[in-house]
Amino acid sequence: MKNVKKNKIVVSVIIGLMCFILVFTMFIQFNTIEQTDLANIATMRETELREELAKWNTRYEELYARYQEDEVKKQEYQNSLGTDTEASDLLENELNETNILLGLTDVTGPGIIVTLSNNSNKNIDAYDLLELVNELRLAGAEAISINDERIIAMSDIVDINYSFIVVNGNRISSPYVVKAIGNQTYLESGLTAKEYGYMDNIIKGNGKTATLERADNIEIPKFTGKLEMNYAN
Amino acid sequence: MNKKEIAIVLAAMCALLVFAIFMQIKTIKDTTTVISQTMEDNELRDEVLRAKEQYESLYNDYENQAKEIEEIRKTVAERDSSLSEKEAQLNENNKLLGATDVTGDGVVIVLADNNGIVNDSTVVATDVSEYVLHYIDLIQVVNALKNAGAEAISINDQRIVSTTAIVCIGNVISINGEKVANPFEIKAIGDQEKLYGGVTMLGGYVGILEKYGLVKSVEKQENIQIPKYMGTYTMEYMKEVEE
Repeated sequence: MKNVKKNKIVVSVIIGLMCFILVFTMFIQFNTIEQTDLANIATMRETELREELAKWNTRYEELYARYQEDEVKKQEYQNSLGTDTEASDLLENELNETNILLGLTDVTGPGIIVTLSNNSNKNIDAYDLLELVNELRLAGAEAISINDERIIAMSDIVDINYSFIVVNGNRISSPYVVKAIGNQTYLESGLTAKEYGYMDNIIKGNGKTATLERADNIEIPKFTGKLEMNYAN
Repeated sequence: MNKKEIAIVLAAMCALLVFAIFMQIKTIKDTTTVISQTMEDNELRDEVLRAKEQYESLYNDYENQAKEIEEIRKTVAERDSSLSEKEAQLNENNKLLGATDVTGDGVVIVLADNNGIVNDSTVVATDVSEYVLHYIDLIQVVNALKNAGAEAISINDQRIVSTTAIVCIGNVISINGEKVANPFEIKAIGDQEKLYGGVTMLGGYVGILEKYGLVKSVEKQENIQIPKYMGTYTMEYMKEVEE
């Protein structure tokens, strides 16, 4: 008799717990759905949705690779807590990597070289170079230079009196040799798309002159200016 | 506890559950029925949501991991002055890479389509294009800010870094692969006088945009907050040149 009562209580407690968990998960789900911008996605059509899906998947993969790298880094740091030399090496490696990403070292690798030159009718101007740099970035360029001026995050490209171009505060002139390191196929196809691509649209379409070639061991020099933040904290 | 009590409790829980299910069905309905064309689209939509959620949860982990690494690094660096120097330099480098939120004085420019003209049916369609902002306008304004010595720039909270492309996909502008919409709030931190002077310069690009009524405001502001770059850098193809 006592056992039956006990069983009943156990059963009802289990059922109660299950219900509670169910409701709880549902609320969690509400929250996530609210957070994501449904409105934006709801208005998308199939092709856009496919692109969006591909975008998030690629991003996930990139971030996951990064995450795993950092996990190794974390382990190494943790292991280094016992020894000073290892810790020093780890810091040195990290520092080195950020220096490369900032454009503070000479780098080499495969990529493309676009050479733009003034012709008898039309001069190359800052706009042409700005568009080109933007296209190269879109195609995933890891390092870019124009006539050996390294293009970093805060590099500017301006016309001075329509007679010459200044990059990073330094004067450069035609021919403009733009080097980019990255995936050669992406870099090239990004520029050579028929009609709307950079080479057809911006260069040929405006009667300007430029050539494009692949190269395997491009060398891009480091940024030689001063890199610091005095106003941003 | 007698049978009656158990029954009441169970009933109450079931009611709550059913209510929750209905609520959820309603939210999902509200968001998709409006334009739901096919089942396939809806499934795709779910997939996109799931992919995005997955990414966001990984990003969370990634951020926590970064914090942990920073903590360990600090502990390591505290034991040795040469290490703490390196650590300080590394933090500075990360700041320069746009890996941190930054605050400072600078200017804020707001650009917006000239809707008065865009919606005016008497204006010829080919002219309308001049009263709408294009990706190149953003590139030019960003370039002007860089020329004036900006240290950090963002457009609608997308941080401008060394790999940032500003492009047009269909009729939407995308920065760092993220869609951004009109109006555009461009923030820049740096020497206020230089930045302000640079963008308001006679014959400057912002002046040209102004003629078409595309500039809402150019203001000096204190304590501007610019968010960090949310993407990752890759080093698949470039290698450091060994000396």
